[in-house]
Amino acid sequence: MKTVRSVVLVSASASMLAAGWVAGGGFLNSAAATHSVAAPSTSGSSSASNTGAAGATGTFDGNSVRTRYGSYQAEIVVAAGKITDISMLESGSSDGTSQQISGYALPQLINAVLQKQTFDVGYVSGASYTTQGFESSVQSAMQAAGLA
Amino acid sequence: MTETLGTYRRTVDAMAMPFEVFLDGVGDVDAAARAVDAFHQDLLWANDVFSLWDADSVLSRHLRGELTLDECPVEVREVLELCESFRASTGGAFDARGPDGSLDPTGIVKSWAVARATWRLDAVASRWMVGASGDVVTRSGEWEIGIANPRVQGNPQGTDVLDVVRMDSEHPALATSGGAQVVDHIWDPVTGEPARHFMQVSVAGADFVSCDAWATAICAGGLRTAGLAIEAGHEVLLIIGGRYDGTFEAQSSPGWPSVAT
Repeated sequence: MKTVRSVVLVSASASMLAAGWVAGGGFLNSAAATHSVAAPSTSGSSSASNTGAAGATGTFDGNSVRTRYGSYQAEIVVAAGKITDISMLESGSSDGTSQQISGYALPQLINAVLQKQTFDVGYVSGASYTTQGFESSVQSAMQAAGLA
Repeated sequence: MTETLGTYRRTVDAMAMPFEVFLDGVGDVDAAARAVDAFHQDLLWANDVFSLWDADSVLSRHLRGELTLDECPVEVREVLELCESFRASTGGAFDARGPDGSLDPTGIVKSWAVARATWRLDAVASRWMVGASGDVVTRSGEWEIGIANPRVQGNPQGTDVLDVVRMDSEHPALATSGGAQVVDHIWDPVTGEPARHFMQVSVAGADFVSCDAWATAICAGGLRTAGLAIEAGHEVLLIIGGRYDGTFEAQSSPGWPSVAT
């Protein structure tokens, strides 16, 4: 078990936590899921209308969210409707680098393992040289070279 | 969109980069063509003013001391002040001053020029997308945009994507920095060495120039800067490293608008 610094997470929002696990469940329903929810955000404030209802006290486990690099499952400790601690029952692979990164960034960031996607998209961000202009330029060069 | 309205697509070149313009809901194709012409001219003007590869540009002459700031078009002061504001808001991670102290606002000139020119597209299309050499800004509707595989370079067959985001009125702008296509062009302001915190950084948000500046800033400043970007209302995707099997370790902010599954 990996315990995340509780000092940072005392103000963790129950509403964000609920939203996080809803997203996690959605990913679980897809066989090709590669995006996983590892931990809730700490931004925002507690809401009485969500998981951590006002006055609730106890320890609650989130769903285990599987990725191809392991499962992530959080456990929260709630006292009087406020999250006082979050720990990870499962936190992905045992890769040292990713564990270190996860430990540092859990308060704000969600871990993911991304892989090549086959999507028909209107544009690709980050592909400076593979836009239409580049492609048509390559094509015209190939035509000039008698290759196309 | 009604059936009678069409689309208009064109790629224009400026600043040695391709700018893809996609207009939807176009009623008058001739007017659309003229609007894109004017949009293109705006970008060419920005190049003439700001290019540091052109010794005769206004900015080059200003930096050589041949023109005072007051003698330059007012836009020069605007861009330099914008750089300063981003330096402050990013905690120094976005810094237009190079390691040798020289001033180089090139990091935001492209997106600034595009943002300044898009009003011309509003007049002729109900929704549009501009792909500015890897950064994207949209108006109205939803657009699915891929995030490039940072390992792939200039593949004329098309670029692998690692993720797909939905851009809409909440996140109309998206910028990606780093990656394999342009390596080691961002400096770490602390070490003065090329920044290699992440393989690739994408930032989605409301303002195109801000997304561009923050993406660069996070490349330069690392995880701490990513936290600042999120606090400032942006969504981020950090490609941290490649795995042996071709997948990537990544982290994203809780609201990152991914639609890939």
